[in-house]
Amino acid sequence: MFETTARNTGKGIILDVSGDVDLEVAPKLWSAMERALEQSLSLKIRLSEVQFIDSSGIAMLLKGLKRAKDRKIEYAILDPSPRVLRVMELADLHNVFSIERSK
Amino acid sequence: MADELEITVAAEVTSLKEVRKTFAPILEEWEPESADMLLLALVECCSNVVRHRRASLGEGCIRIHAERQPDVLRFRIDQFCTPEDVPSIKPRKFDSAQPGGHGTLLVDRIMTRVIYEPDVNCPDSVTLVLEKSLPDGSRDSTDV
Repeated sequence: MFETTARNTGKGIILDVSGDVDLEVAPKLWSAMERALEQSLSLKIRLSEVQFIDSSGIAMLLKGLKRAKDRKIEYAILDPSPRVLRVMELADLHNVFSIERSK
Repeated sequence: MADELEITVAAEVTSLKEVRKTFAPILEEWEPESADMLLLALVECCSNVVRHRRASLGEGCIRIHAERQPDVLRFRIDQFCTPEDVPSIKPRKFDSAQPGGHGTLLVDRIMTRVIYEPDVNCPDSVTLVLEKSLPDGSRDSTDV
């Protein structure tokens, strides 16, 4: 089941996303991302628990990237699951996003 | 092991998870190495029906048929669109300034062939056929 949890670390917001990201829930993902982008100068979106993502979900991540660039907000994808990475590579986007790994 | 599966779901956004739930296990059985990408292609096409199909088609439903042959895996989505819609279905890169077409791009990259066939059961509509070629002899000899 799709779920997002935002956590303010003091250095920025980490948005944990879990479940499947598809056309149905993409607007909910964007709402959560938009709130986070308004509250912080740093947003990292953790996708380790995302087992399915399609073009509508990728489009939200790209929308967030654009919004972050426009507002000079640090923006990264954190711990993408193997399936998320495969879709990013398929879409030629694996070098577009800043991808980070948790220590 | 079943070699084909057909379901009909409502052409609504809430049906997409039902499509995934139904086809994920059978695709894992048929083609474990590429099951996740095949499922993605199928869901992208169903999403396009939900988003774009004309109200006159499909009676508010999406009928999906999947079959596995020794050399090809095939999905069919009936009444996918009208013949007039086909020229406008174009893949677009995600960085394109024009909206839309991203799902089509992913489908084109996953599947071996994407075919728009006249729907024999419904005049003025087109069936979408997605095919993925399978390596020769990829069928497990223990399959029944």
